[in-house]
Amino acid sequence: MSAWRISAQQERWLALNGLFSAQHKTEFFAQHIGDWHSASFIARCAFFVLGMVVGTTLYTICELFHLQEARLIAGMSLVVAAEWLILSRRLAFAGIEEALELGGLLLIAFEWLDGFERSTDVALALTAASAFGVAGLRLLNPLFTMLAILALTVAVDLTIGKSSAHPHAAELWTGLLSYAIAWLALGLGAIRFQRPSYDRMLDWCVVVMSLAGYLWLASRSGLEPPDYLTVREPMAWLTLLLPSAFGITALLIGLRRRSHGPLIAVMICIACLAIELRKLTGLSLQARLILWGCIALVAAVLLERYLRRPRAGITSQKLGDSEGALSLLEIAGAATLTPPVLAAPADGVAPGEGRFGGGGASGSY
Amino acid sequence: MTIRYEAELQELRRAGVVDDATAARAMALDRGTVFSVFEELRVALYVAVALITTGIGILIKENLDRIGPVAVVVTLAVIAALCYLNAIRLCLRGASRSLGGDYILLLGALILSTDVAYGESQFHWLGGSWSWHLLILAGVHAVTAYALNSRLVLSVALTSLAGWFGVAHNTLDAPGIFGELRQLGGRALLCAAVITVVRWLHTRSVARRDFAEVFDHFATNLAFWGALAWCGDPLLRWAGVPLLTALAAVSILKGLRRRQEIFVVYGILYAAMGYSKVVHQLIQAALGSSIIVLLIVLGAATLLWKLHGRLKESAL
Repeated sequence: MSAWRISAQQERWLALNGLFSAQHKTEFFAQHIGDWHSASFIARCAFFVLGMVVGTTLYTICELFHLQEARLIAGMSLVVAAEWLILSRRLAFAGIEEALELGGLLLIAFEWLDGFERSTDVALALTAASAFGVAGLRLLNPLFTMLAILALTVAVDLTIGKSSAHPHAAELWTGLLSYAIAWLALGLGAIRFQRPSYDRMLDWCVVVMSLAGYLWLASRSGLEPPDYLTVREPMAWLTLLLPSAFGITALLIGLRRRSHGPLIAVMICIACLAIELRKLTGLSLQARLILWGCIALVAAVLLERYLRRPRAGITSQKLGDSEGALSLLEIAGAATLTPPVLAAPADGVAPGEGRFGGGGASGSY
Repeated sequence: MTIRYEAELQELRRAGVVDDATAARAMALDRGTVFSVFEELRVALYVAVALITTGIGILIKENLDRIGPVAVVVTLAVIAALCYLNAIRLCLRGASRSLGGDYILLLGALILSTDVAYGESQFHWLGGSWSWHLLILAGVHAVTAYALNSRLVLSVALTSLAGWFGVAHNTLDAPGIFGELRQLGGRALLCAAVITVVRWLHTRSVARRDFAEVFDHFATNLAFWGALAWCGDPLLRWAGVPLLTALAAVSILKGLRRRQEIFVVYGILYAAMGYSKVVHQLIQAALGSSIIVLLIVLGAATLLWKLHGRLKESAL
C-alpha cells in the first residue's frame, strides 16, 4: 500500500463500491479501500467547481495584495493544499483536490513561463500540456491527461505551422497525429490494466482524439467541406476516409471488447461524417437536420427492438437499476428541448395577421 | 470493459455482500457475456429528437411564405398525433413502452408544443392572453404524462408551466440571468410553489407514477433561482438572503433524510452562490469581498464534505 497515492487494488475496490453502492455494505468495501475517501459523481463535480472557485479567488487575493510573483505564491499554496488533502486526509477522485492541484500547477507553470523574455505560443501550449499531464498522472484523472494530449497537439500544430511553407500542412499533420493517438489508444485498450483509471484515460483518448482529428483535418478548409463529387486533391479525402476507417475499427473493437468508449467514438465519427458530407445532397440545413434526425431515430428504434433479446450477449435492455446523474440529465435534456416562449405579439395585431409573413393567415398574400 | 474484477466479485460473493444472482449478473457483465448498449441508444435517441425539433423550428421560420400557416399547423399536428399513436396503442394494450417509444412520445410532445406556439403566433386564438397557450400546453402535457406514464413528457409540461410564469429556460443563462430581478424572482418562486403543491397532490393521488423526483428537481431549482434573483436585488435582498438560507436548509435536510446527495449539493452550492453575490454587492473593496468569498466557498466545501460523510455513514 502506498501513502503517495491510492493503490491499484484499492482503486479497483473503489470502482466496485460505486457499482454496488445500493447494496448498503459500505463497511466491507471500507476494509479493502483503506482510509481513502472518494466522492460520488455528482459530489465530485460540485467539489471540483468549489475547488476551481477557491483557486481563482486565492489568486485574485494574491494579486490584490500586490504580491510579487502572485501566481507562484497562489499556485504553490494550491498545490500544497491539494497534496495535504491527498496525503493527510486521503482524498482520491474527490474533485476538490483535483481542482486545487490542476489550478496550482497551471499557475506555477505560467509563472515559470513568464520568467523567459521570449515565450512563444508553442512554449505556452507545451507548458499547459506539462501542467495538465503532471496533474493527470498524479491524480489519475482522464480529463486532465486528455487536455494534456490536446495541448500537445496544439503545440505540434503551431510548430509545423511556423516551419512549413505549405499553408495547411500543420492542420494536416496534426489531424493525422490525432488519429494516430486515437488508434494507439484503441490498440492499448487491449492491455488488461490493473487500474480502472488507465482504462478510462484510454477511453477518453479514443473518444476525444477521434473528434479532434476530424476538427484538425476539417480546419484546413475553414470547416467548410469541399464538393466531394468534383474534388481533385487526394488529400482532401482524408477528412472523409479517416473518420470512416476509425469508426469502423472502433465499432468492431468496441463490440469485441464489450467496451463503451470505442462505441461512443463510433457515434462521434458518424456525426463527423454527416457534417463533412453536408453539402453533398444540396439539401437545406433544416431538411438535413430532419433527415439525419429521422435516420438516427429509426436506426436507434430498430436496433433497440433487435437487441431486446440479447444477440451474442449484446442487449438494449438496461442492466442494473442505478441511474443517478443520467436520470437527472435526461430530465434536464427534455426540458432543454422544449420550444422557447415566443415574444408577445405587438399591440393592435388582429387575429390572422401573422408576424412571420403569415402567408395565408390573414387571408391575403 | 477490459478491466476484469473476477477475483473481487468472487470475494464479494463469498463474503455474502452480494447474493448469488447479483454476483452471477456482475460476473456475466465482467466477462462480457452480457453487454448493454442502453446508454448509447439513449444518447442516439436524444440527439435524433434534438435534430428533428431543431430542423422543424428552422423549417417553419425559413419557409413560412411558401408553406403557409394552415399547412404548417395541420402537418405538425398530424406528425405529433402519429408520435402519440404508438404510445396510446401500447397503453391501451397494457404493454410497457420501450426506450425508443419514450423518445418518440417526447418528440410528439415537443412537436405539439411547437405547433401550438406557432399556431398562436399566427392566428392569435387567445388574443391578448396569448401566453395562456403555455398553460394549456402544460395541462395537456401533464395529462399525457400521467395517462402514458412518461417522465420526459412531464418534464416538458413543467417547462411549459415555467414558461407561462415567465421563467423560460432561455432567460436563465447563469451570471447575467436576472435582467429583471424582482419580477423574475417572484415568478420563479411562485412557479416553484405551484409545482410543490402539484407534487403534494401527486403523492396523495391514486396514480402510481414515478414522478416525484421530476417535481422535486424542478421545484428546487426554480425556488433557488427565485431566491438568487432576489439576493441580487438591492430592495429585496433582505428577503432573498433568509429565503435562500431557509431553502438551502430544507434542501439539505431533504437530501439527508432521503439519502439523495443531489439535494445536499443544490443546497450548498446555491447558498454559496447567493451569499457570494450579496458579499460582492455589499462590500465595495475587492480585497475584502474576495477574502469573504474565499471563506464562504471553503466553508461550503467543508460542509459538503461533512454531509457527504454523513450520507455514507447512514448507508452502513
